[in-house]
Order: sequence, then structure tokens, then C-alpha cells
Amino acid sequence: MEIVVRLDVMLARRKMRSRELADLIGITEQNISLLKSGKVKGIRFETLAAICAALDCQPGDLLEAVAEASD
Amino acid sequence: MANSERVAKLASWLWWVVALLIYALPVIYFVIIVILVRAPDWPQAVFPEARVEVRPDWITTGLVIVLAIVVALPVLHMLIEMRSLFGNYRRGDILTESSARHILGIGRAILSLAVLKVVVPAIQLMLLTSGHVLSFSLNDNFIVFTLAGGFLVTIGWAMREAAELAEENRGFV
Repeated sequence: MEIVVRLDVMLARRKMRSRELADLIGITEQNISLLKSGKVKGIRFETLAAICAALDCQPGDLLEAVAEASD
Repeated sequence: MANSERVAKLASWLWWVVALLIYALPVIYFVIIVILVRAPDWPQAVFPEARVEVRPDWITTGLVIVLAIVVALPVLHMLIEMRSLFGNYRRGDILTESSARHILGIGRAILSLAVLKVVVPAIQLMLLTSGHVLSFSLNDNFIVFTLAGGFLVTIGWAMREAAELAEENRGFV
């Protein structure tokens, strides 16, 4: 099982740009990009709460647990 | 001024001081040894426990000088580690594994110095007196060096732990 970040989907739904979100929640656009690509070890509750508040969504709308593809 | 700026500024100054000492200290040490050894009664001047009639041959003198140089090696190692540490700090690499390793190195060098400062003079005196006198002295320097070395080794281990945590945190958004 792995956690996939669906931030890009929520951003598209809310018609918001990464830069706009970054400015709203006070983190860098580079970190938003890393988060979107899933290239982070984890996300702080503080950041998650700020993103949820900015995008008016629940953590479950941003994160999804999917089964890992077997080789 | 932010703490990191303060660290970088002070470390920059200290880097220069330590870099200068790395080259100056061996020269000063060499000059002191030469001046001391050229005096006819140098064994008595350096080691008051040595008997008055002690007149060491060149082999004994050479060995005593080599041992004196051995005591200076941890100091040199400590300065090299300090230069690397201040170099890291002035670049802003504070909570890193490399900086923790240098603090550990400084601590170990000071601990070695504490031990050598007790053992080496005893061996030098034994050489000068052809094995007739063996004298160990534990003075306040030993306690200060041991405490300072132990303190820095502990700080080094704690910094290593902190650097690992910082590295882990860097992966979090």
C-alpha cells in the first residue's frame, strides 16, 4: 500500500495555481511541486490543515491509499 | 541578527584565526623546542624532578623531542577539525552530520591531549634519568582537558542525533 497525493486534482477542481496556494499557506512553490509529485517523506499536519483550509477540502480528498503495483 | 547569521559571522572570523594557528603553531612549537634544548641545563629546566648531573646523549634528546612533538599532534588535529567545523558553519551547514563529526573530532583530540599530557612527560623523564625516575602528575589541566573533551564528545554525539533528525525533517513539507 502506498499513499498518493492528489493535490493536483484538487488544485484543478478549485481552479487554483500552485503559486497561489503556496502564497496562501506560506510555503514555497518548490515544496508544493515536491508535494504534488509525491517526492516528500511526509507532510506536516500543520501544512495539511493549511492546504485543506485553502482548498476547502478534507485530508481524504488530498491523500489516497493505493495498492502498490506488483512486478 | 538571526542566530544562523551570528554563527556564520563569528565562524568566519574564527576560521581565519584557526587557519593561521595551524601554520603558526608548529613553527612556534619548533622554535620553543630548539631554544629549550640549546640551554645546557635544559633537562632540569623542563623537568625539575631530573637530577642535576643528567646529561642526555643525542639519542635521548631526540626521543624526548619526538615525544614532545607527539603531544602537539592532537592540538594540530584539533585545529584542523576546528577549521573544517568553522568552514561548515560559515557556509551555513550547522545541523549536519559533517559538523557533528568535526565536534566529535575536537572532543577526541582534547581527550587524547589530556592523556598524553600525563603519560608523555613521565616517559620523557624516565628516558632522561635512564629509567631511574618515574613520575606521574595529575594536575588541574588534566581535569579541565578531560572534562572539556568529554563534554565535546557528548555534544558531538548529541549533534549527530540532531543532524539525523534535521535530515529527516528536511524530507517533510
